[in-house]
Amino acid sequence: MRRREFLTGSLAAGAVVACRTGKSTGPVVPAARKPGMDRFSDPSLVELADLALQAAREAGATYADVRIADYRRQNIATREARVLSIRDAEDRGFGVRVIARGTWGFAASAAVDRDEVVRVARRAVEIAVANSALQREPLQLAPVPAYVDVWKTPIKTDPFDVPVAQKIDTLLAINAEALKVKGVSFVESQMAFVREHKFFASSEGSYIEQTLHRCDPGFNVTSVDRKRGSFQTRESLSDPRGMGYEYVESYPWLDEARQAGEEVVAKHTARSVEPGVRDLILHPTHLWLTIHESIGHPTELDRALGMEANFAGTSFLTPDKLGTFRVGSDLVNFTGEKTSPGGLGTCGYDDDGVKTRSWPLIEKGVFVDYQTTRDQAHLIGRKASHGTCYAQSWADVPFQRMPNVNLRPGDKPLTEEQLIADTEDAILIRGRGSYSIDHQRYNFQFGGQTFHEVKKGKIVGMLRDVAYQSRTPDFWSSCDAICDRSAYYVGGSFSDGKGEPGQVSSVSHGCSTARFRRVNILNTQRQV
Amino acid sequence: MLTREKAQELVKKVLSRSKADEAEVELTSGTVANLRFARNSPSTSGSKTGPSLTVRSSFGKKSGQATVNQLDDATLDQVVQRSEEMARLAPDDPERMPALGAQKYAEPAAYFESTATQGPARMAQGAAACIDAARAADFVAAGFTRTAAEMEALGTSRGLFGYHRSTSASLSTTVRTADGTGSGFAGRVGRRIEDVDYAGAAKIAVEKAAASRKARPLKPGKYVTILEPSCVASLLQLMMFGMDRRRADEGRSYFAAPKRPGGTRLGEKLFGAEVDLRSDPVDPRCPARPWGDDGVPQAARAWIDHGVLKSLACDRFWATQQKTTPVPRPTNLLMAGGKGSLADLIRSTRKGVLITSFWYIRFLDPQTMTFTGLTRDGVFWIENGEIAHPVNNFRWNDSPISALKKVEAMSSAELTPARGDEDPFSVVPALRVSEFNLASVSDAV
Repeated sequence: MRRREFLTGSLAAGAVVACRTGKSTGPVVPAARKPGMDRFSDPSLVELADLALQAAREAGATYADVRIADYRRQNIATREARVLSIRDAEDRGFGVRVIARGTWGFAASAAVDRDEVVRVARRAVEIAVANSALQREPLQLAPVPAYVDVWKTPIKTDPFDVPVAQKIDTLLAINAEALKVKGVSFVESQMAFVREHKFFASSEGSYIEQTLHRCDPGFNVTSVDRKRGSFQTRESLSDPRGMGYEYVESYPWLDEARQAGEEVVAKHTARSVEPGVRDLILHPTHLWLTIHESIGHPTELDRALGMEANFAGTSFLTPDKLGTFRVGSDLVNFTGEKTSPGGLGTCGYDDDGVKTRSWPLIEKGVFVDYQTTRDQAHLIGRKASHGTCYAQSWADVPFQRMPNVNLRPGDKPLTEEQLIADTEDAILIRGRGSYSIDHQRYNFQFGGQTFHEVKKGKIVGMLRDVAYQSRTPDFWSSCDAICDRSAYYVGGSFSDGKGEPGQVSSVSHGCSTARFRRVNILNTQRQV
Repeated sequence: MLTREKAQELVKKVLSRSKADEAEVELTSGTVANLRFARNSPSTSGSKTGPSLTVRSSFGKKSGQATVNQLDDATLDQVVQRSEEMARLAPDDPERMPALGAQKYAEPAAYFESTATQGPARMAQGAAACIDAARAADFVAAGFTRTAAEMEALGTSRGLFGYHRSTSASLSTTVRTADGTGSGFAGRVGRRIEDVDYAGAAKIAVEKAAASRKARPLKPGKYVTILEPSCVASLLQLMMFGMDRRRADEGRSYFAAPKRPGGTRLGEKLFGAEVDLRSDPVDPRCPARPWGDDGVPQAARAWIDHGVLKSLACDRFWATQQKTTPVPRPTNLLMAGGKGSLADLIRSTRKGVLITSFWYIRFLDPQTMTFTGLTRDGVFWIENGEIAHPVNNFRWNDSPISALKKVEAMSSAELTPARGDEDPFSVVPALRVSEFNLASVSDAV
């Protein structure tokens, strides 16, 4: 269903409901037209939003926003020559968020019609008022201009226009290619696509329509060696992107399937790593996840303030460390942004209605800023939000979520080949493997997909059973080389979890290959 | 929430629209309310009411699936059509099984009117209890409370219809000292709101926060360890995830027989006789949905029978290949416990570590089901039957298989959420294991 059909359908359904319940639907009050509103996919969006905002105001809200949204998701999964599942899901509804008596209230419904937006807006105010009895810190919102705008992920090919048969052919070709390698036992592959269409309006005068696209293709190859009593796996090094089907079409799937097949078989006879202290060269297909966990999460302001203390945890980067605390070496610069093309977190406006931007988080190794939302910026003396508020669906409360967090490439010319040539003894890690970090983001431990030994400037062989464990400031302080932009690559997480009830968001991390000195290496093999 | 009659009517309505050879319908609806708090104040709250309808259509061995969240006639037409379009586009699935016909499902008493009607109000009182208890101690509470009243139904064009309704209520709370040097956690879950002891959980979290201040350094190593029930629930859920017949037959699981192609460890005595793990949808401690993911009826089942591996989950296709009966993944986990309490377990321990809660657990080596994870919100050193002092947090690298092989003693079993669980699932004891690998120190508090 296209967007216009969705809205037409929902309004029609609303009229039916209203007639059945005997309520008068009445003429919709025309919204005050603002320049740019003619760009919206359907004028009824403004009318519904205005009804919700008006109802919230009349019920006592001092602030209100509404998100009317529809989501289309498609997921195709295969193994070997078989299609495991073709799933297509559509989900639509709206959520109203209000502040009343200094407290948030939120309610949502799948029934997008005029009566329901009014009922739900009133309900959100009731919830806010009820919760205000426990409130000790009345909310304040950082100011934001009113915007009327339309924003779309700049895609070339809408994945939902690509025939399912074509997607299946691509996946089965990946599987067949990997299975050509002797010793490969199983291959699973999948593609996931999301189209998020949402209309945001606030009592402060913003009306913003956005259409966001994300995709996540990938595969996993397994080799079973029953004589050895062992099995090995190798996942694809592809990453999800905020792009259309053109990303799937541009990725060298067959080359990587063959390479993954060869590497997974080679893992059986690769040397098991000796534990100890070693240098590491981390490829961007791996390093993005270390950035995500050790820099992305601890620079979330809501964590640092204790808002996530019961689940995701707090942060070692407490507000008293702003501007002074050294997280890494002078080479280390991190930027937060929601503006880079292809980024999973990229959009025009966040779910607070704040225009997205780019800003430094770590500069020359020193912690300088957080990821912020409108309701928390003032708690560290900031006057504006960086625009990192997001809700996974119309039914969920928006809250602070990670933007794209990127490690800036090195300023001096340094290719990956030059970095390897410059390294005496290290382990080169590619791909996302096991990952875990403590609830204040100090102690982390990561595996990978492939591990190669570098000796005297050359890659000399494969290792296995490798994980490294470190402490965030120690690790980033040991970074002594970051390649230039020639080695830059954007990885990312399609389903980053946070919050209670849990919500997922998607986020990208760009970086170049980097070297870290004297990191603790473990051997993960054991007997039970 | 849809009644049985309404749900059946709707399922029939969807099936009547089908032009496929076979159609299967899954329907859920209900109301879920939650209240989150942090910094001794409510932070966010939500209430969601709404259905989800999934239709799977099949033509011969081709099938496709579509999901919607609206139930008007136009959307019902659309979801059926889309699933049929998907199915027509799909290649033949050699493993496609015919839709299930009528089944006999158990009828667990999982729905309690008190939870459905009083849940949201009691939930707010529960949050208030945590905040009040923390404030009284000059501490800071964060937490999450939730209540749900939900139904699930399934039906097929071959005459199957099943209906199950349930309620649940949960609380988890983390109380931290104002200076951030101590932190305590407690979680509760139940089907009946009266069974969820909000005040009791608040008291434990406050006590643990106070007791965990001034943690002393303890070196990484392998220690005698008491794992509280929340940790045990986490470990067992991880192990259960790997208890899959097909993966074992394919040789890519710990449960594959070592060096014996095609064989599994079924029938092997893996653990001591005291290790006994079952599931049963009508167990009154944790009544649960009476069918598995593919509609196969749940029954009382032994997974580990006094130390012997008795069952691995097996879908319908693989069951036909292996000439066995399908085994659905369980909808609850019931581990047999000992006789005493956690306090008794501590009293009987000469030296060891007590762990309240686990965090961020991920696979490290699937071959041995070794995971990595962390401790948080209360780790203590036990000496001569008493908690001597708090110690630092750890990263651990260990396997539920290894832990269950090293059980020395256990408390009685109780319904306990693994950290993050919102629905009742695990009835488990606290365990004392002779060795648990605390691999490195975490500076986090």
